[in-house]
Amino acid sequence: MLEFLNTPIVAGVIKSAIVIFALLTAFAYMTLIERRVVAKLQGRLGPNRAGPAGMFQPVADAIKMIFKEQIVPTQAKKAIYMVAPIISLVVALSAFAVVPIGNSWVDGKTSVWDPVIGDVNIGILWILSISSLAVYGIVLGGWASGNRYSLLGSLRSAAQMVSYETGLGLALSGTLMFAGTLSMVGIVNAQRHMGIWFVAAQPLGFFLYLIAGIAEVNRAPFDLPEAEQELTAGYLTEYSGLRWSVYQMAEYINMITVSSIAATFFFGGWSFFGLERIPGLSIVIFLVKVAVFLFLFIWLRATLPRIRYDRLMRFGWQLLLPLAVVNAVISATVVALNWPWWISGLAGLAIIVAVLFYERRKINEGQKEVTVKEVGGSKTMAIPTSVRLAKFEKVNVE
Amino acid sequence: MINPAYLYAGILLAAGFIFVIVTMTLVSFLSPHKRTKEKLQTYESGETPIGSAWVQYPLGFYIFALLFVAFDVDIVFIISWAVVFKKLSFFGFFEILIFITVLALGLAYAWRKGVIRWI
Repeated sequence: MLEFLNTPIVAGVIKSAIVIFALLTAFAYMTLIERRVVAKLQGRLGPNRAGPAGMFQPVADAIKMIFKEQIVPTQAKKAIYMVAPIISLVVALSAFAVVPIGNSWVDGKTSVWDPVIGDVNIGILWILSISSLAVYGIVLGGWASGNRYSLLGSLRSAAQMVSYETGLGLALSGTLMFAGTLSMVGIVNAQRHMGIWFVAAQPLGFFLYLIAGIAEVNRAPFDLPEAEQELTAGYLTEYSGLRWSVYQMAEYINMITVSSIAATFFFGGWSFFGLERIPGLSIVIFLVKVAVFLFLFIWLRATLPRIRYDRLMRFGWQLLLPLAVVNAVISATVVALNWPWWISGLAGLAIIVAVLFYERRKINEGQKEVTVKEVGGSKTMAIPTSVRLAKFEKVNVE
Repeated sequence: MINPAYLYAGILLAAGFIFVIVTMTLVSFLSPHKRTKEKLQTYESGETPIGSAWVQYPLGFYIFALLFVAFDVDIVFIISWAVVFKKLSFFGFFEILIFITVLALGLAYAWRKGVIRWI
């Protein structure tokens, strides 16, 4: 009687509904967990009033958001202003279509109820192209707000996203050479087949991906588009009520997507040394891996100060992109010569250590002497080379 | 015959779209609409905004967009090459080395010109 449920399209609709519901629940509880964890790291309590340990805080927030007024400022371009958040959220949700959340229910046998919505054979290209559409939501929203803060915030966001997109794509290409497929399911299977997680063969690629991924989703320490001290709230300044929370949802769902790609590409996705053969356990394994990355995002936010904008751009183009090119060349050489995987692993680790030492030396030795004129003589002091003092030219008043 | 997986991925796209539209429509009925002149004013930290919001911005943004277009096309090429890499063997390997050299030269040129220094 219930045979019609087993048709692929019905299964696709039901799985889509489950994924959307799960992502939104994850978003709601991520906001709570983030506030609690950041509070703990800063020696505060965090929200703990609504329910035991603040469990119902997301519900309270949602109810508050629903009954908030949604203001459209008079200077805003109304149509684009209202469409932009929708683009952001739809794009963020649909990037999740190709992520394999778990093993098929019978190991090695595919069925319509596998926990992946569509195993598109160009999986990672789907995610990269869809997530680069996210920049439209931000740029259009910031431009249409009719506010200078919003405009500058959205421009920053666009420039930052395009700068790190290149490094991100190249960092992933090393893994693709080892896997030999673009399908996300295929990449997990390649790791099971080789018996390693690709982080062992691609440590440099993993670190580059992680940094570029954090910059892609505009999270601290790369959250320049929302830098409160400089731009109020960046592209979010004029948004209120549900439209504001739709942008927040998009940001957190993008974080979850970036974490899932990191888990799938470099940490074996849902596989865990044979444990994934037990049906259902593979989903738990995948969720744990994603949760570890999400915790890392929160931890970084609480630990690192915000990077300066010109340094952010320089970092992306002058360090991240060249290193990603080097990583691609190393991986290509190893795969072409049929060398074992640990050679590229060791080479990647060596490059990471070399770069860290180089940066450390630059900080420690890169000091210059400047003479500062003061009242009653001048004094010499040592400052880091990265500090540039403003020079004022003499103005002749006649 | 296209892969049916695209259809399922499209289902999620459509489902996400429907979900967002329905939620926003419902909430627009629930949320209050009390407009005042001050509330609808552009926010500029309490000041009355002067002039248009669409100000001139640094040319740097434009140059980064140009650089991005050049490099992103290259990366699309490299990713598709990386998949069939094992079948191409040494011919593909040397070809991509030449390609990456050209890419690196372009980056070095932009670097030398001071384009990617931002200020």
